[in-house]
Amino acid sequence: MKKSSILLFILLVTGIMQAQDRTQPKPGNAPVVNIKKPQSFVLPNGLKVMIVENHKLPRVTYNLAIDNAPFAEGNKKGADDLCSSLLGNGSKNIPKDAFNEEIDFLGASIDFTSHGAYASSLSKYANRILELMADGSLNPIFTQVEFDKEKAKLSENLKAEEKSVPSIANRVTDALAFGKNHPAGEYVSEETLKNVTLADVKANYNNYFVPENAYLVIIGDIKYTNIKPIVEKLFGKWKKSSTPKLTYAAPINVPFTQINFVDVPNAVQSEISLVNTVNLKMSDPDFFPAIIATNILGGDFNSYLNMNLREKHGWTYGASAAIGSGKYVSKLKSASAVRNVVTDSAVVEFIKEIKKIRTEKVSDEVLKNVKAGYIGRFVMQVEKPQAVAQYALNIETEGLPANFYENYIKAINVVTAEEVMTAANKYFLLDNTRIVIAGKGADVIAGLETLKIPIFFFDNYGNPVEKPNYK
Amino acid sequence: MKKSIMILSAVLLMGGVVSAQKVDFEVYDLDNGLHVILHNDPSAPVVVTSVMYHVGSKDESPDRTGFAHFFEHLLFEGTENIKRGEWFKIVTSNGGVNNANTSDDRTYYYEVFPSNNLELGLWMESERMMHPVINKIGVDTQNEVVKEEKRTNFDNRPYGNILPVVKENMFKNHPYRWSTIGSMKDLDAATLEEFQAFNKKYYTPNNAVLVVAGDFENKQAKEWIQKYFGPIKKGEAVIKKTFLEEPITQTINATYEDPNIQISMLVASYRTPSMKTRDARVLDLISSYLSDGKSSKLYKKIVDDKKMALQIGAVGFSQEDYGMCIIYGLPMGTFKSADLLKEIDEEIVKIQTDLISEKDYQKLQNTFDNQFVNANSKVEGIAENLAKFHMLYGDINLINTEIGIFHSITREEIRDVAKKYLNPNQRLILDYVPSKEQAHN
Repeated sequence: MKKSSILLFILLVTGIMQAQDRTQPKPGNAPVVNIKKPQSFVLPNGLKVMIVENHKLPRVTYNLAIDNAPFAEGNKKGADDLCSSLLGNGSKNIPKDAFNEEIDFLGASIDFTSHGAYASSLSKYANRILELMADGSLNPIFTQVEFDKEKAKLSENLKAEEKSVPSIANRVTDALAFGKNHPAGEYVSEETLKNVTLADVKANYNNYFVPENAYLVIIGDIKYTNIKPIVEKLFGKWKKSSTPKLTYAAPINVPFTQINFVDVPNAVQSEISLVNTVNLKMSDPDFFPAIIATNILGGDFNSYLNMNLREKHGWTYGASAAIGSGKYVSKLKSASAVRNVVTDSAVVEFIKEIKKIRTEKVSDEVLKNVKAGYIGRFVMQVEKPQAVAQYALNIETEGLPANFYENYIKAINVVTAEEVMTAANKYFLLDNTRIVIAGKGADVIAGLETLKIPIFFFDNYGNPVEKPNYK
Repeated sequence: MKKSIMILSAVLLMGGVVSAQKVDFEVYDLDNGLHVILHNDPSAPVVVTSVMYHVGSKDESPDRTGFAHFFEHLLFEGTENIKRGEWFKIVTSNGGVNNANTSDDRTYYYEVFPSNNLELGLWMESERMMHPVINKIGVDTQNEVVKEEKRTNFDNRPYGNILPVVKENMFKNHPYRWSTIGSMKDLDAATLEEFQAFNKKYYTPNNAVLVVAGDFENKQAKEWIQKYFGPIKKGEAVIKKTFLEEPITQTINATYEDPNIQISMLVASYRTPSMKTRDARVLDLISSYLSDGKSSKLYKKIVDDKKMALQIGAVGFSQEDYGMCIIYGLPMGTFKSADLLKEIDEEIVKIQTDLISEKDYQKLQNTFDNQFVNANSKVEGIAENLAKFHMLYGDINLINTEIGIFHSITREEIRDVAKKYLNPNQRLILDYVPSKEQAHN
């Protein structure tokens, strides 16, 4: 021990000698950033339009985003997905083949979903692509032939993913955390897909593809004055209507920490997710402490989880934590994929790191670094046209104060270590956490049983099962 | 129907080349052979510092595969002036992001910082080039991490092993035959000295290109580049070996069992020439013709009209020495891989026999114009493209002129190139099937 510290000392000295002018440079003056606002207008039917002119490149993007509340589909789960697949296959005015051909011919792309559309094109075709996007969105055709085809593909897709360890893990984690009857917890299966009819898809479109909560964001090489009348003409006819307002029972976190195990015999890594549900709005006073706490726990390479599971132990390619935020209930999830043999040890370290952030004040250095990371990424993004549009959209859809982004840097800077710890205790509910593990039971269950954490067993779809008999 | 055709012909008449986009840059060399590229873009307060090293998995020895990718991990471990574990902290605490990636041909390291940290980015990359610390603790840790990377990205993922299997069947002599991540056995067997020797050989200024792109002043940047990179010693010249592959003249048949899947995948892979050749670019057009967009030949026929496949695609895998054109499909319902192959072959024979239509030809040009504009839309992308065209293509001007090559390709060339490279006896047919037994670790 003594010997190596002497060696270290020598290394240090030689380091300094060589490094006369190779010390870490100091940053220059921080760049001054300007936050621009898009030009915008609202159509009588409720559609809000935001335009960011940017003439650097001869291209344009259109993003039609319908910000509806999530809804559950129950035993017909899949209708909404099929609505997405069926949209964009022609319109009442243009047959499918001619429609697809024209988009491709222009070298452009348009993706349609049940909650909007996104198009990208060279600006010389800007008007035509917007026409096609509007036509495909507002005058769709839903035919039995296309419906049958897309349903068969969706069913086949389920089969293709059937043995995927990450897919199984994600599905079961959400089903257990939110409950299978909740919009965030339900999933498409062969059974629900069987129940979906063409009429359900049409009803889905009629109920939800409406301008009530819709935004059209236009970025690129177009002129506001030119595009505004075109938007008015194309989207003015979109019929005003309001979406069904449904409510769901709030998900309840488990009363005690537990392992929820899914046996996937083909797994060579265990997918581990520690999850609890949270309610965190971007407008909440502890929004910034909460995202900073999450970042410290598992947001980047330097995080507690990654430094422990990857860099200290070499158990994984990466470990991370993410917290959902927004108007609706979401989740805090800490996750990693680790080799089978270390599954139980990894669970112990996850718990240790979450405990640490709940009980120990984060060091000044770590807090300072994480804040600098947020601010740097903000400074680099803020002047880009995509960010200008995104920030404006967030202010609208998340109910933020108009100066949210003007205050962003300040809001990050004032967060204290105490606030981080308070947020960690409020949102990282260690005593109400499910530790969902999808892995090879035969290899890992014996180790997990030594942890003295109650274990419950589930199938690939989150249904409780008896403990399987592992070979 | 009539209306849309009229609109189409109007567009055809307009045609024209993409205008209003030229990437400007300045290039020079340091005395130690480091090639420097500067590209100014003041539109956002961002600066990219990146280094591309001309070393990839094809430079490895057959019993020590995975080295280049392993270095992508090792070279974050620290330098004489950056302690182990500090690299990422320095980047984050100065508001930046960073990463690296490795291919068979080259390795690329980069930082993106707010524009007031250009000097820091240059210092970090010069530290990495000048005196990285390659020691046992770093090697041991990253050895475990890389094994988990392989499990996550290949072995625990449906269809994860397609590319390694295709490569090992397509190349018999060329180092492209092994996967970029390499063999875990080789990495276990490698000694610290071997890693250090690999570093000394390939990670030299004369085997690298430095790019600075974004919001900065050229004069100041040049001073700092000289200050930090100037003192780095020139390495021995790297002599690239040539590996020739005999042409494939008989269909190669292979099967691979994946425990993570339930639906077989058909893979047909043709060997193609270096990405630097005109023929390779013609083959890019052919891949696009076959599978880009809902109106493309394979998608329209096999997925949309005949409902034989869940997915179909043709991808060009472009590389320095050889490439591959890989066509894949997931058969649906009662259809089998052989049924898809029959349909695919019919379309290829059409390309080989008749000229593609004028309209399809114009569609390809429009598609590539669009891709060209988007390829240079972000400063991060421009930095990498500049390095790539300089180092791998040997002509940095291609960042502006390559689109002209695509425009100059004729329909006749498309036919002839399809005839030259895309014949049934020139390919691998891989049956990528569900495993009959359970996973083997």
